[in-house]
Amino acid sequence: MDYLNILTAEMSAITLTLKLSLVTCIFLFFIGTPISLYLAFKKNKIIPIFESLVTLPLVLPPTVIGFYLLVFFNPESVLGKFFITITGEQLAFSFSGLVFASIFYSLPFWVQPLQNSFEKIDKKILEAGTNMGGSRVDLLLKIILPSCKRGFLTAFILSFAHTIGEFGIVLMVGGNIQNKTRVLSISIYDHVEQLSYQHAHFLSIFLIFFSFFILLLLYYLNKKNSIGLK
Amino acid sequence: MRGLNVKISGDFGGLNFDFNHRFLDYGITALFGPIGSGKSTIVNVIGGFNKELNATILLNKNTIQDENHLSPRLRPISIMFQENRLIETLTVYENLKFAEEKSRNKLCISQSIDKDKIINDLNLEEKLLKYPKSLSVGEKQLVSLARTLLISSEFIILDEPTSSLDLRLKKKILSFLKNFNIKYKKPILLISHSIEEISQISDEILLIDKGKLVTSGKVHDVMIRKEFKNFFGKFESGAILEGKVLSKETKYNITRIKIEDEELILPGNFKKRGDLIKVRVRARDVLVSKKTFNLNFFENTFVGKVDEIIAEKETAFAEVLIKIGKNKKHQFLRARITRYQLKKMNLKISEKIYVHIKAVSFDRQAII
Repeated sequence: MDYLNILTAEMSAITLTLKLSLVTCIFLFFIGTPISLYLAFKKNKIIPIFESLVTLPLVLPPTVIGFYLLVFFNPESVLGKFFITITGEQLAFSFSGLVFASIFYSLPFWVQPLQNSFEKIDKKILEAGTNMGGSRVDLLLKIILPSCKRGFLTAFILSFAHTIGEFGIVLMVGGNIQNKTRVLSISIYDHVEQLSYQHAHFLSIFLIFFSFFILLLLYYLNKKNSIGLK
Repeated sequence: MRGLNVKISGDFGGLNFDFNHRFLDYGITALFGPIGSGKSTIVNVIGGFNKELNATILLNKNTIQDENHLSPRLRPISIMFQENRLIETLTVYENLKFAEEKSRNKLCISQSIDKDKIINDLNLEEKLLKYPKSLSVGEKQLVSLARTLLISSEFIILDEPTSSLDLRLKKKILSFLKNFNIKYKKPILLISHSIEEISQISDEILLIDKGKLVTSGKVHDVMIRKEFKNFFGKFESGAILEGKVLSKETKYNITRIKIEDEELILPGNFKKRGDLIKVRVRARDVLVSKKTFNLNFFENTFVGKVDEIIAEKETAFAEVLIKIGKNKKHQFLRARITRYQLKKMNLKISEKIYVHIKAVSFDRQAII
């Protein structure tokens, strides 16, 4: 009975977390995919600069990213102002701000597996497609995207899981507002601070199992060639 | 000026290219040369996939490439690449449809091609719904060939189109290609390592070595010339005789053909009466003698003149090139004998000589 109460109490944190991860992945599909395509197929001298920029969130402490995002989200800043004019809401300490930060933070987890997957495509088949008169869009829709289903799946699962697990950046950018920015990781931190260990245990174990099953699914699908995913 | 005009120069892949040729605007041209001589690079240049080499390409009066570079997808050229390069995510039928539909964007005037007939001729009906992954290497090659022929274009390049096929299928596909070429009047550039294949269907041969065009001309004219002997060295030396089918004897299952003024007997039943026929004669199957035998006793006897003698100093062998037929219209035969025999016979250039070829030395592969 106790656990049911905890679950009801934490439901908003759980749904908010899943919603954040899902929305982030949807944005990453549209933002990260073109970046992966560009990095995989364009070969020029500035590519390494782009690659480093995209990977940067992987190595920087979340506090550094969080700090600068807060600076950019400031209603006085260009981005902050722009966002307020179009949505009437400020970015800092809002769900939109969290999505914004998560896109940035999870970008390498979307771009890298997808870029790898794109790079594995035999360029010679694309040449043959071009010789047949196929445009870039034709090649993208008929050859590139369909042969990278597995890359997309990996990118989705990794980004989704990574967004669920983020803490530092969420704390800095979103704070701890019930129903708005209080995701699971923040909630656990909060409960530990207040010494309500039962809640913290419950949520932590939930996260451990959830993350484990997501990764299990990923590795299982990666091993299984026969289902036609590549 | 109709036809394809290609001029390529520059360095690429360790080769210095110097290629300048105007291709026949009909028929089949073969590109022949050792491995690593730059054949596939030339294909890539014509297709627009090599930007390192300087090239000027004209096709039927349209400039495809000079300083400007027409996008590869708009070039009215269809290419069957060496590897099959099928789209693995599409079925066989979808692969064919992709070629047929997308190539409509190409800048060319081209008649539509009977897709069902190609599918039928290449025996692909039952493969249409399969994915390339489930096909054998040979089947993939046939799909790739069908796909290439369906591209709407004004010039076709086939880079080793039959390399994965067995002999029987190879023969079938070659005659299919010849018929296709005649029906649609679209010139074909055939790249092949097999001189048999080339002599069977090509109208012209280009020899290429280390990126350079060595020579071009009719297949048996080029093959017979001693300066290019090294090119064909790894193949059994021989010659190709051209003739007409005279008659057939079903009782003995033989075909009589007329070559110049002589008669040649082939075991088996080939072509129709009056058809042109080419026969490859291996140099080692040719027997030469100075004296007349009873001609009725020997089948396949020719009278000729010694045209050239090549003694291979480091081996036991020599080759004699023999001109047969009247002076104006003559053909050549090549005979391989030992140097010892050459000395014993004391052969001289322009000397009259009798040539005998055993009828059983012709196998099915020899008939072209």
